[in-house]
Amino acid sequence: MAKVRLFGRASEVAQGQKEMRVSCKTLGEALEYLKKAFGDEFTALVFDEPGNVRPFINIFVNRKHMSQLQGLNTQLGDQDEVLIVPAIAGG
Amino acid sequence: MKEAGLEDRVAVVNFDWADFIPEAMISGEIDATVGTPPLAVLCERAVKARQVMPPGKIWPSNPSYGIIAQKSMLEKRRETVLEFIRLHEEATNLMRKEMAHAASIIAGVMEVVDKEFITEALKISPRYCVSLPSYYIDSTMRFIPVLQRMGYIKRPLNREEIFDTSLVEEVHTEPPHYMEAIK
Repeated sequence: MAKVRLFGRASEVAQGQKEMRVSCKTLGEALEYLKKAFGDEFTALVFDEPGNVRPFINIFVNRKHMSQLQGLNTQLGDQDEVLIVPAIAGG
Repeated sequence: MKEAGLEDRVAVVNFDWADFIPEAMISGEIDATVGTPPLAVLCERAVKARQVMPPGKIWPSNPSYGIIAQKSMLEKRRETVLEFIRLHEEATNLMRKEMAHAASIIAGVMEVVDKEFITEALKISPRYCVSLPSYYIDSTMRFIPVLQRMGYIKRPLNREEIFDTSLVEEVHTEPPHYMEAIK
């Protein structure tokens, strides 16, 4: 089970949860789980209407941005850590 | 650090992404940070951090961002670039003159922070203008030796290789608005 950590607003729309374990094989599966677990508010924050990850949401696997990996097809194992971080601090 | 004799007393940590910094402040991994106005607001909210030096004192007249276009685009689609700069000027005017309204728009687009957050961030660095005065160019040029020393560039660059101010001069004919925002 991969570890998922939620930051800032992403945590707020996930009932305040900051960290959890998710049973999944890919990043896409992990996000699907989170959508089902936390419902519309979480889904609307992270995804746009066509279902793409919003530009102001950064998703990292082991601190590498998903765009530098295989996107939603990035494989996840027990040792992997997913970070969902609203992009605010960058300039 | 070297000049101030702080090399042995302060360890500098580089983060790949600025958005990791607030968490590092919360966890105590770092004690202080250098970054953007939104980062300052985040850290203030998260750990009651305080701004100890405003942006203008760290690096006066620093061009915190730039509009970069390929030469081919400047040659073939100059009007498009001009139109972009005109729109950009409208946006900077809005941020300067109607900050609350601008904050609402920005918060609506970003969705991850509220209007109050954006307003606080805009107030930290209220130098919004599209003009490119010589003191901004000079400030950039002073950074060239540092970039070369750090290995980012192989040889010194001159200002003509970096800047084409003709478009901005066409769009922004009045004096720069940077200083009027400093109170």
